[in-house]
Amino acid sequence: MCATCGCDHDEMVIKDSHFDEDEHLHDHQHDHTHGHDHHHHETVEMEKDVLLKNNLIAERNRGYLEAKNILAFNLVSSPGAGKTSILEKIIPDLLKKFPVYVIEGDQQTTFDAARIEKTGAKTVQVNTGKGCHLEAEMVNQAIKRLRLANNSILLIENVGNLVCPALFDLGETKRIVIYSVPEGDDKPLKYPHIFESSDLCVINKIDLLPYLDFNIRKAKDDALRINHHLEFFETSARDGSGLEFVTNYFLHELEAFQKEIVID
Amino acid sequence: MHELSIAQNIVELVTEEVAKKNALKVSSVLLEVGELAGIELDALDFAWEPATQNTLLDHSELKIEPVKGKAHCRSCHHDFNMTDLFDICPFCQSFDNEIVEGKELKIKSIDIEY
Repeated sequence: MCATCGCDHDEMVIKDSHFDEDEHLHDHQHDHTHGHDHHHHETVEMEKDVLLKNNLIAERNRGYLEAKNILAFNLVSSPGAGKTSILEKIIPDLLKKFPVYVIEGDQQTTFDAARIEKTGAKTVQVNTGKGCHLEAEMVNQAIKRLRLANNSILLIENVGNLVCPALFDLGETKRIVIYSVPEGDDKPLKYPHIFESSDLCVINKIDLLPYLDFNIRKAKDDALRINHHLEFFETSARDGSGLEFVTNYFLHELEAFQKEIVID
Repeated sequence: MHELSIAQNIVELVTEEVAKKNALKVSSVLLEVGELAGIELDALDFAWEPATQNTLLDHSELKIEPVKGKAHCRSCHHDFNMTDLFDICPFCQSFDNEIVEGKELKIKSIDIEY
């Protein structure tokens, strides 16, 4: 037994003539001073935003894209809402005016990248593995691989997920939530964060409205309750209705973006 | 489950911080989480153990300091408590609200041993 503090750690006594009897190793702490190893405690104030790193990289991406006059859209939705189908339909029209680049985010496979590449847009697939969303660092890496031209459009198709991508800024110019009619008109209230963080809302698969109990007025009103800045588009990627408005929106935004540049 | 990424982000930031201190271990982390931050605390708790395994934060305690949601109405200029993002102004029923508190997600402090 330890003669100094009375603890019972006989098995840990070091049988060595160089040590005094009370010099042994034990792993508990004492608040008095003696010859044992003991721990010091300290509270360190940090005051650091958890998403600091992601946000810093996102701002770097944003600065790079702005300097090159590239309009970047982060497309978020649940799986199967029609992100890839919409892109397949609108990219050929966008390509007539500007170079278009696509970052495809999926947990696995390169299926979507293969679909998009057929449109003629340069595409990079990012597989997040177990990750449920894209992060700014992944976009940063993808941008480097794409070698973007000035005055172009970058479309970032996020992982299909209505929850997680909401928290991660990628450095995009605008965020677009794509929301499809079969998902039901209650989604804005159920998944408010994604609607709160988006600038545009595309309601897709409107060709199914006659067959489903989807109240489009309610869906929009609920989404506006969360985010009253939200702008809406109603589309059907299947029959192509409403897609020209989305295409024109992209083209107008990029043209307006270019006009802001003051040339000395 | 973005809470796993959140937990990994915390581990990374804390590990960098303690590297300056020669700490043996981190015994607890105090996290400020706003009610409107979009973080599911149960999910974060669930992710904590796997995220901290084999790091200096192994077996550390995650302490939460919640922050109530608060919004400012741009129409009638009243402040009110917001518990959900779709809450409207209780004074004038406007949607035109700006969140002023409740989106925090911040590491306040850590307890270390060395």
